[in-house]
Amino acid sequence: MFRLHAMFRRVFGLFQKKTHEAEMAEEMRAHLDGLTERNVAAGMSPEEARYAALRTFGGMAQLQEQCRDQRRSPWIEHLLQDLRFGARTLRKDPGFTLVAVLILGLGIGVNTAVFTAIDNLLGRTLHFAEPEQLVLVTNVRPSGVLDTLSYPVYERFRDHAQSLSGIFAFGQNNSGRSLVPSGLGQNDAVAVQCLEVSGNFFSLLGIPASSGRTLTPEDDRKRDPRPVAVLSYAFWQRQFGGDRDVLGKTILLDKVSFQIVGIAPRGFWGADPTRQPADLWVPIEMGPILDPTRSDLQRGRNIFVMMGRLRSGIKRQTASAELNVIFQQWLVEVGYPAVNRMNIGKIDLQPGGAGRVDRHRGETLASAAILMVLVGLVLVIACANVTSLLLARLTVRQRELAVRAAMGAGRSRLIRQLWTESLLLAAAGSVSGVLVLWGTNAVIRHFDMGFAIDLRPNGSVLLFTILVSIGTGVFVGFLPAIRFSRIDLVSALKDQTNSATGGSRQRLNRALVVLQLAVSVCLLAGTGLFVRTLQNLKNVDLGFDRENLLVLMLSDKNHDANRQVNLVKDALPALEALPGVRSVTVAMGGLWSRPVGTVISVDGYQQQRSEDMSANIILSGPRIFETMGVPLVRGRGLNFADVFQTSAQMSQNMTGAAVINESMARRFFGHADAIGHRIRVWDGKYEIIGVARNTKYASLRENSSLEIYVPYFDSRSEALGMLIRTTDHPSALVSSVSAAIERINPKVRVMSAYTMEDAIDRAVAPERLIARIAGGFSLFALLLACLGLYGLLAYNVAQRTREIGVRMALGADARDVQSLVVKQGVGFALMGCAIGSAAAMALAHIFTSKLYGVTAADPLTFLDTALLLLLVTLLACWLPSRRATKVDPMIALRAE
Amino acid sequence: MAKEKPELVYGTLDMLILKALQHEPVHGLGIADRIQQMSDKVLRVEQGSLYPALYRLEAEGWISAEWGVSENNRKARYYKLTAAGRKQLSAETDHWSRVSAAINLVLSKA
Repeated sequence: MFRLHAMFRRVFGLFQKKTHEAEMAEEMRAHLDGLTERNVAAGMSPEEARYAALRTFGGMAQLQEQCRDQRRSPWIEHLLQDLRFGARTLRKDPGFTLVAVLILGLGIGVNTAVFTAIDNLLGRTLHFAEPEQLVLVTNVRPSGVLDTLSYPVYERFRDHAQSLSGIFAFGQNNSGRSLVPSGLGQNDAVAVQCLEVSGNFFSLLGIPASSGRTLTPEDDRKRDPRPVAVLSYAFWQRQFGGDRDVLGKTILLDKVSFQIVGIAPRGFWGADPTRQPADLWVPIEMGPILDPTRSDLQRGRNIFVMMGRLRSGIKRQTASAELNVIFQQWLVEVGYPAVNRMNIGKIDLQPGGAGRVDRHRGETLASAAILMVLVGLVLVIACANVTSLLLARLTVRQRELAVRAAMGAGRSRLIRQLWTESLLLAAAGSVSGVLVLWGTNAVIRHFDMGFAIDLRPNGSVLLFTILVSIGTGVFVGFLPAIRFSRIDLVSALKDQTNSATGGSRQRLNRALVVLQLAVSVCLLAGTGLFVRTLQNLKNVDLGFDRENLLVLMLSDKNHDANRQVNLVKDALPALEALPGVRSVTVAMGGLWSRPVGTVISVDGYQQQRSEDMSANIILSGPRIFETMGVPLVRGRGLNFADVFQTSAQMSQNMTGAAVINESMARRFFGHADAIGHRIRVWDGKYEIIGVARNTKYASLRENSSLEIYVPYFDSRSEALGMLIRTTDHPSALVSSVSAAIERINPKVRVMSAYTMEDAIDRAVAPERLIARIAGGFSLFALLLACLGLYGLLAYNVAQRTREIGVRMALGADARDVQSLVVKQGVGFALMGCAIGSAAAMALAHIFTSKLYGVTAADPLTFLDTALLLLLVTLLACWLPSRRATKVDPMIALRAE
Repeated sequence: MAKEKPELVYGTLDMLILKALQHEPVHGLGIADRIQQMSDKVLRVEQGSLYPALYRLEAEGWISAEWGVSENNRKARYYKLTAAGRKQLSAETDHWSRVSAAINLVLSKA
C-alpha cells in the first residue's frame, strides 16, 4: 500500500519540479551556512570555514543530481528529455525534417485512406440482438447468384416456418419520396429515403425505439395497414433538430398522411450495409397506398430481402431444408410449371449477423486486397527512403553521439534516443497523413467513382493509423539506432571517416536503394497491367455500336400500362422526326440500364436436372437492332406489329415474336435453324423470328450469356427506357428530345439521359480507379527510388574521390569515369528490376481474375517497366557521373 | 579533522534517521548531529549521503518536511516522522535486532 503512495509521489514529483528545485537549493544552502557557522565558531576564518564546509558537504551538483533521482522516476524523466531533445534536433534541420515528414505522411496517409474506404465498404458493424441467430434467406439460382424472393413467398414462410422464430422482410432499395411535415406547421417538401419493412422488422432485430415506439405486426396488417412511420435518429436530428415534439405528429409522404410514432436508436440505420441508410421506415403494406399503380405485392416480384431468426438449437441447414419444402409446396399451389420449379433455385440461409450480404462481396474483397497491397508497398518505399535519409544524417552526427557516449550514455540510452526521434517523425508524419486523407477524400469525390465512400475517420481507423505510425517509427528508426549506437569512440571523436568501417553501412544503403527500386518496379508493372486491362475493357467489342447512342430513362408518376403504350406510340415517330436523330426505339436491359432476366423454357428441349435455364432479357421496341447496331444473322427483327400488337392480344394467349442470340441458338438448337421454334418467357409463349449477334449484357468481361429480345410491354414494367441513335453529338440532343416528350405528355419526366459511352465508362469505374491509384503510387515510388539512387551514387562518388583521382591520373578520361558511375547505377537498377519483376509477377498471378486481356507475366508490360526504370536510373546517374568527371586528380590525390 | 572510517553499516542510515526523528522534528544538519550524539560520537554521517537518504525517505512517505526557523534564526527545512514512518521504524528495528543477533551468533562460534 505504501509502495503505491511512493509511486504516486514520484509521478507527482514530475509536476512540482520548480518548487522542489528551489527548495532543495535553499535547504542545501542553509545546511552549508550552518556548517560554515560552526567552523567559524570553531575558530576558522570565514573563507576557510566556507571551504571546509564545502569539502565536508561534497560536490553540490552531484548531490543535487542524486537527490533528484530519489524524488522522481527516472525513466519518465529520460523519456521527456529524449522527446524534447529529439524535437530540438529535428527543428535544427528543417530541410530534412520536412522531407521526412512529407514522405512518411504520404505513406501513412494513403494507407489510412485505403483502410477507411475498405472498412466502410466491407465491415460496418451492425448492432443486432444475438446476431448469431440471424439468417439471411436467399434464393440460390443455378448460376450461383444469391437472389431475393417475393412478398407472397415471405408471407408463406412467415406463417408456416417452424424452425425460425420469426421472419421479416424489407425492401431491396429505398424509395425516394417527398415529405411535408404538415403536422409541425412546415409546408416545404423534403426529399427523403424511405424504406418499407414488415411489422416485425424492429422486434426481430432486437432494436427498441429511442423515443416513442417502433413498428408492430399490427401496423402491417394485410390490406389494412396503419399509416405510421419510424424516423431514423440521424434524420430526426438533421431535419427536426432532435425535437421530441415530432412524436405523434402527422407528415405527408408523397401526399399520403402518416403519423410519426417513434424514433429509432442512435446508430441504427437498417439491416443492409450495401445501401444508403433510410431516413424513415414504413410498413410494407403501405406500399400500394403510396404507389397505387404498384402490384408487386401480389404479383410476386423479387424485390424483398428476407431475414429471420433461428429458434435456439436449430441449425441453418435444418431451417434451409424446411424452407425449401415450404417453397416447393407454394410453387405447386400457385401453379408454377413443373419444369420451371426445378430451376427456380434453392432456398439457402446465409449468416445474417452482419445484415444483408452483398452479392458482389467476393469481388469487392479482391479489389480491396489489391489496394491494400499497393498501398502497403508505398509505405515500404517511404520507410526505406526515410531510413536512408536518417542513416545519412546520423553519419554527420557521429561526433555528437560519440560525445554523449563518452559522457556516460549507455548503448540502450542512445538507442532509445535515436528511436524517439524516428517515432517523433512518424507521429508528425501521421498528422500530415490526416491531411493526405482529406486530400484523397476530395479526389475520390471529384472522380465520382460510382460508389459512396465515407472517409470520415472512426475508432478502428484511428487505431489503425496509430498502429501504422508506431510501426513506421519503429521500423524506420531500427536500423539507424542499431547501427549508430555502436560507436567506435576514438575514431568518431577524431572525426575520421574511415571508409573501411563504413563497409557495412554501404551495404545497408545499397540494400535500401535496391529495395526501393524493386518496389517501384513492382508498382510500375502493376500499373502497366491494370492500365492495359482498362484499355482492353474499354475497347472490347460490345456486340453493338456504342457511338452516337443516347440513353433516356423516363418516369411516369401515375403509371398506367395503356398510357405507357400510347406514349411510346406517339413518341417514336415524333422523336425520329427531330433533326439529328437517325432512329429511336424503346429498350431496357443490359449494360447501360439495369439487368432483366428470368428463367425460360424451350419447347422441345429436354432440360437436364438443375440445368441453368436463366436468360437475359432485352425489352425491345421496333427498330431496336438498327438503333443499337446489333447485326442479325438469321431471320428478322421485331417490327411495329410485333411490339404493339402483342400487348393487346396477350390475354388471348397468342404467340408473340422474339429474337434470340447466337449463343442461345447454338445451345438449344445446335446447327439447326432456330427460326420457328417456341420458347416460354414469363407467362408468355414466343416464336423465334430471328437470331442476333451476341452482345455484352451484364459485364464487359463476360463471355456469352443467353439473350432474348422480347416486345417491350410484355413485361409490364413501370420504367421506360429509350435508345436514340443520332448522327452526331448525342448529348447535344437531350434538350430537344426532352422537350418533344414533354409536348406529348407533360406528366412524363426524363429522369436521366446519358450517352452509351458514358455508361461504358461507368462500367469500368473500378478498373479505372485501380489503374489511377496504382499509377499515382508508381510515380511517387519512382520519384523516391530515383532520389534514393541519386543520393547513394553521389555519396559513392564522394567516397571514391581518391580512387577516381588515381584512375584519371593513370589515364582514364571523362567517359571512362562516367561509365564507372553509370555502370554502378545500372547495376542497382537491374537488381531492383529483377527482384521487382519477380514480385510483381507473383502478385499479379494471385490477382489474375482482375486482369483482362493481359497475362500476369505479360512481356510487353515488363519490358516497358524495365525501360522506364532504366531511363530514370540514367537520369539519377547523370549528376553524380558528371561530378565524378570534375574530379581534379591532383587535389584528390593530395586530400587525405 | 582526522577522517575516520564512518563505521556506518550500509543500509542502516535510513533507520538511524528515522530514529533520530522519533521525538521531535529536526532539520538536516541537526539530524547528522543527533545521530553522532546518540551514538556517542562513534557514528558520523557523511554529509553526501544524508540528503539523498532524506529525500528518499520523504519520497517513500516516512518523513514529511516543513520550513521553519532554526536555533540561530535561519530558515531551515524541518523533517518529522509520519505515522507510516513510525511503523517503518519499528519494523526496521525489529529486523535489525534479528539480523544482528544472528550475526553475533555466527561470530561467537569458534
